Amino acid sequence: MSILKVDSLVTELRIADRHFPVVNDVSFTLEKGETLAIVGESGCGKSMLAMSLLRILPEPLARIGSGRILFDDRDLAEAGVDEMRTIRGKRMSIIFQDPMASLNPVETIGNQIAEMICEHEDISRRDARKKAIELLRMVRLPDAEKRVDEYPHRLSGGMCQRVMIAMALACRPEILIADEPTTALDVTIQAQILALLSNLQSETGAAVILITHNLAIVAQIADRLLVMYAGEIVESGTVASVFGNPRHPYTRQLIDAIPKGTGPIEGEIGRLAEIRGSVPALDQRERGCNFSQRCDCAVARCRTDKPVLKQSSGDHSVACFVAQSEAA
Amino acid sequence: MNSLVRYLGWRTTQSIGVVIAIACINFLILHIAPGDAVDIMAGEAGAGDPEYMEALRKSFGLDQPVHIQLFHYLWNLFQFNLGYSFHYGIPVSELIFDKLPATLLLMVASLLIALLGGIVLGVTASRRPGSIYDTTISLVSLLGYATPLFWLGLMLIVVFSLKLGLLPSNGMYTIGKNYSVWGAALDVLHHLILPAVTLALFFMATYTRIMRAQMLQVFGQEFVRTARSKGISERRVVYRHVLRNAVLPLVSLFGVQVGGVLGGAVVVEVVFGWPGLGRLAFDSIFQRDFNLLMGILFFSSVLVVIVNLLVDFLYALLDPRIEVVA
Repeated sequence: MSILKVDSLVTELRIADRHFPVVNDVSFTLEKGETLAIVGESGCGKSMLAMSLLRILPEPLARIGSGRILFDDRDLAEAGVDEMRTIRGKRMSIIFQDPMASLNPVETIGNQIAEMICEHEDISRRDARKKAIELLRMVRLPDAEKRVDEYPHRLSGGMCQRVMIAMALACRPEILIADEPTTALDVTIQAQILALLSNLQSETGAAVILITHNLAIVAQIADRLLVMYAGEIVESGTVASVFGNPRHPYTRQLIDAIPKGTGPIEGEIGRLAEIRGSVPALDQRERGCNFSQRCDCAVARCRTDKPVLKQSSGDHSVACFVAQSEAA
Repeated sequence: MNSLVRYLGWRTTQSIGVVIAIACINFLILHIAPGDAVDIMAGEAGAGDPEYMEALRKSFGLDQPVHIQLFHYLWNLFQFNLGYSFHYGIPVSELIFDKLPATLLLMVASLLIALLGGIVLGVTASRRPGSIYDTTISLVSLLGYATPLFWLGLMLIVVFSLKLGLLPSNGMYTIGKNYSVWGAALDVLHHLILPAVTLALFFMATYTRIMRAQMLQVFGQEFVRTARSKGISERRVVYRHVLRNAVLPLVSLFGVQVGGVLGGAVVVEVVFGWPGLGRLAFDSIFQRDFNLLMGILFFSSVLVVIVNLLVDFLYALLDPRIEVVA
């Protein structure tokens, strides 16, 4: 059963009084309790999509242009400020890339968690504090009773991310958006945080939208994935089908770019594969397929027409003329 | 807590050094200026008998070499003795403590107006950058920043005292009226408005500009996005999360500006006939009453040093990232 249905969502960024779509006609559904990964290079609109869902875009710089975000049959794109406040934190929450910068430096972590609880629950300050300590234990922060009164600068990045997770899960939300939750952490801590996230997910039954550019993480913990390129979804499907049979040239190159760890000589790291060029800037996106300039398989039609996302098999969809004609 | 006490001790020791240095510099600068109290007294008397002037200098100790005078001055300071005023013939400390309350009242009132006004206007301007509120506030604060104090004071007198007749233009009390305690307090308050506002406007302009810039900077930080994602009201985001962080630089600026406020108080007290330290200092310059002037300067510098010390502690309390290390 799907709990979130995004329908033709367009999010625009205003630059010099012109509006550019940074999220362009994106549609997807999120099933209850699943982990949906959204992958793509930096500048693909992944974070903008996440902020659009919670309506915490940096207004008036960015805004939702059109489309619907159906959550429990309510359209969040149309919801008023007060209605959004009852959803943010309580039913849908988010953790960010840089945990150290995401906590208020002049408030204790306990107060920051308690603020979340007090906003959505009828609870005394003292009970909120107790609950904050419980939450800190739940995310396995050592010495939770003492640390609850610490300020963020006294904690490490990994600890801060645990605090963020505790805060995000404080009100048992139905959806947790994790926007590159491990990018700013070092590798051993990354693994811990990911393990924590998937444990807590199975405990609380929350659906997770995991935004990342690390495909290894996706293979590890996601159920389905969306591949985003230049604000659009270019391929979507279950992890098994997309990794097993990547259809879009961009997806294939992304998978090729995962460091393999071994080169021609045992133990030596070979040359890393790369995708040449970079994501076209907002004012340089043209009529055809946005990826055509960087694509090795591009045909003439790719530069004039825009491919749309079409189901190729089962749950697997792709937006590429070449891939679609191969399948036909 | 222990480290806080040690820090306090260390900072106090430092401050004493600063105060002694200030005393020496005050003394030397004033002795570079031509003329002394005896010249002025002779001038006021209409004529001067050279022998009598010599005798006066001798009795004041003004005939001794500068370094001996400096030594005497410092030795007296060490004993908390600011000396006698040449002009008034009473102890300088008595004169200072007589005028101090008026100046403190003026300073505290204008700093409060400046801080509160600056914060409110700065926050308002930052809420919608580029809006008509923002443009108006920025323009007015630029004007306030650029307008000389004395001119502003005179213009306020013209408008509110002469044209509208709403506020008194001079002094601290209404002469010849017997008030109850509350009546007297209200009377002082009534007299306080114009000088306090005049003195406050310049500083308010500074605080407004800094507050606006700081708010905008903090608005762009990631923890504000976190705060918004919690479902709390925008008002709470602004006041609880953004303002608390944005106000910190204002606190340190406040300490630096106390000296400037004292300087501004001299001008304002002269313009509005406010019977405070500033006017006493102003008069003492023309009377070459060095003892009095040095006393006031010394006292002011001690005041500024103490306020800065307090501001440092306040800052350490407000910002947990500042750890007190002795």
